[in-house]
Amino acid sequence: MELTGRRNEDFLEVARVLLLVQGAILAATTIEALFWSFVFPGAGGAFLLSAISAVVILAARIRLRADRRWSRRLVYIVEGSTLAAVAIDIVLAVVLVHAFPPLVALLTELALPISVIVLLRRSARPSTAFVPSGAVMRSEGVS
Amino acid sequence: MNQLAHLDHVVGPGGGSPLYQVSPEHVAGAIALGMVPIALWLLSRKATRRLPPVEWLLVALLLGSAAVHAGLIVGNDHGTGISALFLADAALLLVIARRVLRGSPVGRLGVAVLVGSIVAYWASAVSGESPDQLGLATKLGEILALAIVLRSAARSRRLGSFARGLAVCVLMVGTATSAWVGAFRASAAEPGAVAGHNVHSGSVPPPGTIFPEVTERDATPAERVAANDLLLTTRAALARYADPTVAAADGYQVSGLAGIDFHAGNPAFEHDDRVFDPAHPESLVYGVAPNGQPVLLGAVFLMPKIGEPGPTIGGPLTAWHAHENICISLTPLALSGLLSPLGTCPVGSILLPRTPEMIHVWIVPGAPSPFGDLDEAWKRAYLQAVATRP
Repeated sequence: MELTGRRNEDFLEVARVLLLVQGAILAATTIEALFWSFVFPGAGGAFLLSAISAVVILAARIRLRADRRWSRRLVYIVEGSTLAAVAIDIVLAVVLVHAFPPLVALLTELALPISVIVLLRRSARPSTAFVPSGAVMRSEGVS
Repeated sequence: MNQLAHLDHVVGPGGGSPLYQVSPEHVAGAIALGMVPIALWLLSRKATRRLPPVEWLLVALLLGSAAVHAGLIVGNDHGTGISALFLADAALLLVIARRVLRGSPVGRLGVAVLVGSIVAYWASAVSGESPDQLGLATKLGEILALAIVLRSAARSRRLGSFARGLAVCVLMVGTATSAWVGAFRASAAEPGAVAGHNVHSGSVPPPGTIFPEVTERDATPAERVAANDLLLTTRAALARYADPTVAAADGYQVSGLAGIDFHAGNPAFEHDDRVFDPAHPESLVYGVAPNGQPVLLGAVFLMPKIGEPGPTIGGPLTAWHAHENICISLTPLALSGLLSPLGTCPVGSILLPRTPEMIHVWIVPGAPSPFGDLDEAWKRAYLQAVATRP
C-alpha cells in the first residue's frame, strides 16, 4: 500500500507540473484575449472565461492532493470543456480543409488535457499493480 | 479616368503564415525528434536506478529538445555560427539529461541552459525570423522541463512555489509575445512595420491570412483597364448604400454601426450564388467620422465555398485572399481573435480553420490600394476630412 501511495503521489507530481504549464498557457491566452477584446467587441466573454480557467487551473495546481476532490472536479470541468472545444475544432478542420489543426494546438488543447485527466484518475485509483508479487504472497500467508 | 496609375504589383508569396506550419528547413529536426522514443526505450532498458515518472518526463523533454536542435544543424541555412549554437545547446541538453538519469542534481546548469535556449528563441523571433510549429513545440517542451527542474528548489517554500509559477508564466507570455512579433515582422515590408492583411511586401504572409499562389509580376495594360473598370462600376453600384438605412432595407446588418472599419454583412447575399457582382457585395464596410456621420468606405466580396479561387479580373492588382485559424467566440457568437502561437483560442471559442476567398474594393476616392488593405491611419485621416468638410 505504501508503494501504491508513493506511485499515486508520483502521478500527482507530474499532474501538478502539467497544470502549472497549462495555467501559464491560459494566463498568456487571457492576455491575448484582452487584446482581442479591444479589436473585436464580441470577444469580452471569451476573455472572462479565459481568465476564470487560468485561475482555476493555477489554484488547482497548488491545492491538488489525493484527498481533495473539489480540486480534481474543477480541473475535470476545465479539461472537459477544453476537450469538447478541440473535438469541434478537429471535426471542422477535417471536414472543411481535410487537415488537422496545427501541431501546437493538438499538444496544448488535446494531449495536455488528456494527460492531466489520465494522471488524476490514476493517482486517485487504489492499485496493487506496483506491489511486488512476493509481498502479495506473503500477505496471503504463502511462504 | 485611371484610378490605379500609382499601383504596381502587390502580391507577395502565396500560402499561409509559417506560424501555423512546420518550416521546410526544420523537417530534419522533426525527423530527429521521431528518434527520441527509441532512445527512451533503450535508456529504460539500461537504467540502473528507478526514476519517478516526472524525471522520465524531464529526460524525454531534454532529449526531444536536443534532437530538434541537432536536426536544425543539418537543416538550417543561417551559417556556421548558428549551427555551432545549435550544437552547443544540443550537447548541454544531453549533459543535463545524463545527470537526471544518474541522479545528479541539475539545478543551476539546467535552469541556465533551458532559460538561455528559450530567450535565444525570443531574440531570434523578435529580430524577424518567423516562428513555426516545431520551434514553438520545442519551446513549450523546454518550459515544461524548466518547471520540473525548478520544482525541487521550490518544493519546501510557498514563496518558492509562487516564484516558480510566476517564472513559468513569464516565460510563456514572453514566448507567445515574441512569436507574434516575429510572425508579423517577417510579413512586414520593413523592420518595425506591421503588414496589412492583404497587401504586403515581406517574405511571408501575416498570421491569419492566406494568399493564393500568384506569380509576382506587374499588371498588364489590359488588367489595369479591367481593374479600373471594376472599381468604377463598383463605386457607381454602391453609391445608394451611402445611406445605411437603404443598406438595411436591402438586408445588410448595420445595427451597432461604429468604429472606422464596421463590416455590415448580408447573409442572403452570401448564399445567392452570385460571384463578384459589384451590385451585390456580401458585406459593406463603413467608418464613422468624428462628427458621427457614417461613411461608406467599400465592400467585401466573398466566394461561395472554401477553397474556390476568386476571379482575378485585374490580374495581380485584384488578388483575393482567405483567412485561416480564426477564433470564433460562442459567448456571444463573434470573432474573438487568431489562434495563439501557444495553440489556443480564447476559452469559449472554436477554431475556424479557413474562410472562403475574399477581396476588398475600397470605393472612396484616393484610396492607396483599392483592392487591398486600407491603412488605418489613412482611414482616420479620410474620416477626419469628411467631418471637417463644409
